[in-house]
Amino acid sequence: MIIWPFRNAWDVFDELQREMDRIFNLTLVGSRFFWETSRPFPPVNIYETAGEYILIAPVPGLKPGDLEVTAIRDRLTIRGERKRPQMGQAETFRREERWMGSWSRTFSLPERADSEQITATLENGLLVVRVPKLPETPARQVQVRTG
Amino acid sequence: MTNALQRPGQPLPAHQANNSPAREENVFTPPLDIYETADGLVLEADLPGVSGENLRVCVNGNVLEIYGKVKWPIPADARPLHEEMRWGDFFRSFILPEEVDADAISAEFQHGVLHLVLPKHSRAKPRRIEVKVAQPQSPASS
Repeated sequence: MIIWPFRNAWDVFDELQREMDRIFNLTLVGSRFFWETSRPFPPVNIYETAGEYILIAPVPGLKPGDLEVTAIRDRLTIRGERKRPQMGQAETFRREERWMGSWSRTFSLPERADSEQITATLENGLLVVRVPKLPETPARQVQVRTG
Repeated sequence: MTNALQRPGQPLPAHQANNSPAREENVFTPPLDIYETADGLVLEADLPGVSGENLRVCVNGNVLEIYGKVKWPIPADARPLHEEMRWGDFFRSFILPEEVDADAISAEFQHGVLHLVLPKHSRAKPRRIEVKVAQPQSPASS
């Protein structure tokens, strides 16, 4: 399991599987290719500001209807599908570098995440998920009494 | 949808001219598909984070250049918690095949995907040549 350098924050699910895949692939010739392909898709960056967490993923070509963002308890899942447009019979590829298909990624939300208020927007092919932070709970003094 | 095509002669907003040295390293090659249709070639490139006004497609002679400036929608003071990708602008250039009519190229841009139609010169299109049946000579003339 990869231990991320932040605590109590977003920790990426399925990390063990990924790491195992990676180690397995590293033993093969041309490991860089496998390393590239064993990366999670789509890549995701997560940022934090004073008031919210922001998750960002490139999803070019997808419309809002092709995406699904769900939050259940402390799990946030993003799902999407990119379909290759139907090609005419006489049409042939000269170059094919873009990956199409369906994917899903799950993250565990940090403790202070307000999962009720999550918003997701699509901005020029970038999916931006904003998770507001709950107000910090002040420490509560607990009186110790004699029994 | 934006028509992003620029005519030759209009300067490309050179990414080299960008003042920030940090950004210069972060110029990425966008992935793309090229397919051939009966009328020409179609090029589709993924440019997530580029808006229509920050995209330039230029044809200079037989060189096609695509340059997209990325606007990362994250405030500058945000602290990264987890990073799987670096971000930067997109640049890619091609030598156009001779069969493409550079003056007839058209471009569309939507949802971070550039769709370029590169029609073939009419002389490069397959042309059916009518075969005429020669009139049989009358046997009397032979």
